[in-house]
Amino acid sequence: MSSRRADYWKRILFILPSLLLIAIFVAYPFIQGVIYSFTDWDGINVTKNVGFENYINLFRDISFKKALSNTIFFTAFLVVIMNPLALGMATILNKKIIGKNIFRTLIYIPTTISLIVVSNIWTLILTFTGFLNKLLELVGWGSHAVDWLGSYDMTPMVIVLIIVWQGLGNSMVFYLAALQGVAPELHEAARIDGATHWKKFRYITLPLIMTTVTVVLFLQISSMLKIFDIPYLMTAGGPGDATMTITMLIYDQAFRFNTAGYATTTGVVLMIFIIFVSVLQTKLTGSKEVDY
Amino acid sequence: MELSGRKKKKYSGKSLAVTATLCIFCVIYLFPLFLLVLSSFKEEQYIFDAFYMPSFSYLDNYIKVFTSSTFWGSLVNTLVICIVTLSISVILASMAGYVLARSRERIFKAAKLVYMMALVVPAQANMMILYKLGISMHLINQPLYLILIYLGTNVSYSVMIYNAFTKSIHMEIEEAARIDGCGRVKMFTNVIFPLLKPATGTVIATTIFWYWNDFQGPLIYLSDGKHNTLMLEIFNFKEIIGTTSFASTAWGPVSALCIIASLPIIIFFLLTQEHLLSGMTAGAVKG
Amino acid sequence: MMKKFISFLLAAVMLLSLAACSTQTEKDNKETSAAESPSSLEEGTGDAGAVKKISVAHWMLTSSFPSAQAYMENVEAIFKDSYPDVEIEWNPIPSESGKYHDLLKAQLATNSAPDVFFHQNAIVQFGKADYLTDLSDQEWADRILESTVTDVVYEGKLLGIPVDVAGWGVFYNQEVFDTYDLSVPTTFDELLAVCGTLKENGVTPFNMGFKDSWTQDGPWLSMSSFIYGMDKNFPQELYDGTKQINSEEFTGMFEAFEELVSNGYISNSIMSTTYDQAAQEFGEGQVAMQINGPWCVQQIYDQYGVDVGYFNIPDREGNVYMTTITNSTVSLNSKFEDKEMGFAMLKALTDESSLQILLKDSGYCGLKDIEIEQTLAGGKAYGDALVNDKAAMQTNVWIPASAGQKLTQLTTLICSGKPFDAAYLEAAADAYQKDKDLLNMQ
Repeated sequence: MSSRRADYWKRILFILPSLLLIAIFVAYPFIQGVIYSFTDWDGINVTKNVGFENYINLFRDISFKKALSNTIFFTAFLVVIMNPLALGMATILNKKIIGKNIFRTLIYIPTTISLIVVSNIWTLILTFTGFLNKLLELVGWGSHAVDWLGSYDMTPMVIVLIIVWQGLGNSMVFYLAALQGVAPELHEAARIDGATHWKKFRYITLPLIMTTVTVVLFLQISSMLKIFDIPYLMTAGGPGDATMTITMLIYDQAFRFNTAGYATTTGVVLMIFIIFVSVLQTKLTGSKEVDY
Repeated sequence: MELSGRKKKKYSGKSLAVTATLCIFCVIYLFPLFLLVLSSFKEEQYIFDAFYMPSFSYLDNYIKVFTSSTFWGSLVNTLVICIVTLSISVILASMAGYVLARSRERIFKAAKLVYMMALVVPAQANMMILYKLGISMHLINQPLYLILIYLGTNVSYSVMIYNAFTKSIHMEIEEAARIDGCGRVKMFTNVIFPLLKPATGTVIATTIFWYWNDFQGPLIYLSDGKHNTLMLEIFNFKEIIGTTSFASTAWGPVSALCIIASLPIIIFFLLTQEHLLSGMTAGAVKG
Repeated sequence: MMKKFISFLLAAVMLLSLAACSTQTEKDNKETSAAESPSSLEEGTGDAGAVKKISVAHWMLTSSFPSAQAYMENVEAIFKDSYPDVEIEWNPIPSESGKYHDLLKAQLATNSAPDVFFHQNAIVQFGKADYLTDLSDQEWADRILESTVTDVVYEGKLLGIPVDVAGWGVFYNQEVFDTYDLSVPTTFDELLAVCGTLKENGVTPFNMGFKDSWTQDGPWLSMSSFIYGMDKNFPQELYDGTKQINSEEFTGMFEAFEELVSNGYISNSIMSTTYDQAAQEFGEGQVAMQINGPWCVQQIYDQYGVDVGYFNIPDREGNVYMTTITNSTVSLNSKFEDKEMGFAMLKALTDESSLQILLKDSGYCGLKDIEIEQTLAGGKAYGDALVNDKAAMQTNVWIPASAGQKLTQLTTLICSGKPFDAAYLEAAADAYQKDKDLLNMQ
């Protein structure tokens, strides 16, 4: 029937513009990038095809290995620090408290601020002559005053904490919504049976909020593996190579070292890594999801 | 804060203690932001004087921002980019999300896969090539190009939201409309889209942050300094405010600019929070 | 409601694209008319109506650079002698070096670049892509300063004229040195002694603005006496493969730097200090020395009224090398057809009278027969060193940027209090092997 066919084509038309945008601005660059990753493209000239040489060099590249380990470090510590905090805050705000919506809003505000503003805020505090060191001096701990953004050992953790500060609201809000979906009767029943807080959490709450945990972890991990702005603005990857991340390395490879083909190689490898980790993570936490 | 007498009776002493602790926590938590506000009112020599309390009448820094030749341009650019991107995004994503939810042919399943794949590609992998593409399209350093890139990279997210939401609209509504003689297009514009308002609210409330706050995109694609966005303006402000020398970071004006650039989006958040928070979490909680 | 909205949106998008296209068409029109009119001169089609134009781009000729106006006027005066009817279009590319080069490369890629342009560190890329006119049989060929050859010669062809040559070394606050009766060190140990005296008297020997990360290259760029002192052919041997970056030369250099840090001769807040903060401390005498370049002389004098002296860091045996790189090279676009006019413009831009204006008190010339007048003590001291100390290529000319980054990272690592770590030199060596084809060496 012709009106069915007409309807079919109308529907195709509905998805066409967005697919076109994706084709031009996501798919094409990616495929082109993969092609370039097999050449010695310097941003302007391509003189030869180098086969898998870029990939082999990448896996031997000390800078890449360090950037990879830094990125994994950042991601792991973010997950480990952020989630208990966010879940804890959410649990507290889930109770009957005066003005809990106000607290929720206040805690969410740092998430709404741009990362460049966040970097300015914390640079003012953490610089050697900044607020934190002055505070330490005031309480008599002046000897502990360090250059918080210039310490090989401590600066990576400082960066993680800044990102936690910025993102706490976001994760907390997800957990809050999830906790609100857990029927209080379940907790009540368990309490009557003499379960401790921890048991209640582990056997009732956690499994029921697992879908949310999966989503939150996925969002945290996939965005943290691509972290760029904060270290770029605050430490430029330093001191040494302590805070260099993979995306910062790609940026340097493409725009500073004139090795654009190599940069696309790193980009492809990064994407494969993100897919791998995300799939692993969603399978792991997904299997623990439960519905009562 | 609601502290009317009748509510007080419901809360125990323990919860008051918790409230008090939370208050202290929030003060500490937001203190860094407060420091930025303080800095924006300080003269340059007191910026790093940690305990100096400025008189809030020193408006020099703000004046420097408002009278700088590039600030208003960057504000307009940011607004235009946000509004245009959001508008086109809403239209295209709602169309796509609706159709994906109502179609069974395999081609649509494949399209859904394409949308999902687009979510995974990291922006950095494509940077250099998009940059060159912009050059050959003669669109580099134009806000339009940034808009197109935003649309291409972010439309999938909105499509997913509209797709999920459309599924909650009962087919009976469409069948009734079809009996009344509604074609596919009219169905969408007159019947479905109005019903998608909550999803539209969610899409706008969640994605506006990406476009307003984005720094990397303008850094690479709007790099000629003629079409800054607010965030890029912050990054470049030291050169704009500058003195006779290199890279002077005038912290006072930069802090003022940070506050000015963040205020609109914070206000927007405060006004739309319910929408944002409920929409954001709905998908996550239901899975 | 929906329809109104859609039409509003379409209008907005159309406006935006119109704005985008019109600026670009403007640019295109300018470029094509500039490129076309010279050829119509040549072919004698005598298109009397079209204005002949030539465009010249440099990132430095902005209103914040005091001599810019005088320079441009001098160049125009000379050029108009031979081509009175040709209009000069200045600065089609907006300033600020980093973005200038991105835009220049973009324009070169789409054949919409200026006719004559200044550039930096791009000779290999531009040479490979055939963007530059060969100047090998023009007057500049035998006037090129040896240490700048690698910056302007590609595959045997002279492709640009080295205009502004500078490097990194130590500038010292003359007043501070006079107060403590210090003299310029001739060996590294003497430098350590100078630092010791300063520190005893409460003056910080060195501080730089490492928060502005471009300054972090300073140390390894300024200590190459340690490399050349051991082996003056190191760059070539490195390229040929007989030497590596992780060798005693580089190790010796970084160990010496580590000595400066571990004795507390470098400010412990260096990573947090901005360029201007460091300049202030230097100008006010709290800091005695800075690893910097000749661009700082004017600023320090203007803002703090202080004379500065200069020396290159010697190695332990007293070898002193001065390394420079060409900060700006000027070339003629290979697509510009009227070569004679192009050469005339180059002559005007590099005429001695023009360069005296452009580089006075802030730069040195890559043409060996031109000596730029310096009025400030710091400038004179720098110029003297250029003449007296042994000249050599700045290190980042003969190692690729990826290796340089590892050296900078090693520098910041040491500044953060960690000991010298040979792994960074190994990483630099690997990066060198991977990217050596990007270098302009034979």
